[in-house]
Amino acid sequence: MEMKELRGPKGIIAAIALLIIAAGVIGSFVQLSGNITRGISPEYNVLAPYQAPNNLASWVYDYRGYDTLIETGVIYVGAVVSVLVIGRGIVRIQGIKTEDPAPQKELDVKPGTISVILKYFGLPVLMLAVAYGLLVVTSATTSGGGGFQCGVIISSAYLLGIALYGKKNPLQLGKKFLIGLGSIGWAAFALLGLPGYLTTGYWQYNVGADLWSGMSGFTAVPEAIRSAFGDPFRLALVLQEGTFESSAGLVPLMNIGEAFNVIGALGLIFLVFVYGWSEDKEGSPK
Amino acid sequence: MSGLLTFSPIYAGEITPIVIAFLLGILFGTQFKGEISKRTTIMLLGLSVIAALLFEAPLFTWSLVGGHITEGVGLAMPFISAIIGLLIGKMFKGGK
Repeated sequence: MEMKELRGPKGIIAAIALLIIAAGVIGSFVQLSGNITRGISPEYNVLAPYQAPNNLASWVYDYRGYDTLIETGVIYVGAVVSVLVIGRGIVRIQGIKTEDPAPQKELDVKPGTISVILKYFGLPVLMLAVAYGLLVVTSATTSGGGGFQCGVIISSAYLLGIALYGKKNPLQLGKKFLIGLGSIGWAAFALLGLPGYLTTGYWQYNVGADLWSGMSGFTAVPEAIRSAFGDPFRLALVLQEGTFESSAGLVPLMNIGEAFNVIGALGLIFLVFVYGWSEDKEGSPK
Repeated sequence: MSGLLTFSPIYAGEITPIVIAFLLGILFGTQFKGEISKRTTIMLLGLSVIAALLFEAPLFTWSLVGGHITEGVGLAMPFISAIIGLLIGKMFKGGK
């Protein structure tokens, strides 16, 4: 845009908008003095280790778990958009007349052209990669793992299989499986908020760890529910200072939900990019 | 180091991930096609034990094996159970 275009009504509107924004920003700086609310983060830092040894897991899935849930949804929406844009299959089902989809060349690697090492070690490597992904998601609360990382690792294994074997990929993640996995994952993540809501009134309150039960005015979680979600993930942290109990509660389950969702979303994107979306039976490669 | 490896009861938090990895392994194992020879199966199991040794169990946990074979050695058991689950899952649906 040139400066000439800002003359006249456009320029006046732009100037007024800038003035309003400037007044808002400057006003907020003035209000900052002495009015900074530190929030509950210092208290949470103290309590989080009683939930999960990996403090980051407590922050991402408990303190801001609702935010993570929506982020997880964004990935799945991205996958659906990829299917709509690249595959065009869904659009055609709904009877919307559009130009024919561009013919897509499927990736087809002849096994004879790949090296002997890749040919024979490809499948074991894929299995080891998937197992590594599962280790990462199950260790989400005790090490630097997580659901998202697991999803990326397993969907990368899927992509590796496509690159090595083409249509004969031994890791055949079909359309239905991927869609089902993603949907179950997202739904599980969202529904894990229900126990907290029903018992304390707070959605996604971690009833298994139950960090805030001592606070005044906070409804106590019934012992049975706390045990049901907390005991399966209870750990003894043996430190020099002594032995401490911790339970990640709902966090590992949320991570599994997230992993499912990411595998479904990324797998679907890879599938559509490589094979295209077709309405034939399960398993996209024609 | 010795202070970290005192005795402590095994809590379910060390066993549950192993069970979950096994069950998820079966789920994803059903998606594998193709055949695996006995040799490859043995190689996979061997590699999984080596990988489990490399990844280790977290030091602050008692762990099923950590510190009992020798101090500081821990096995990432979910990795081994995931591989076993994958092999079983593959047998269920994906072929031999």
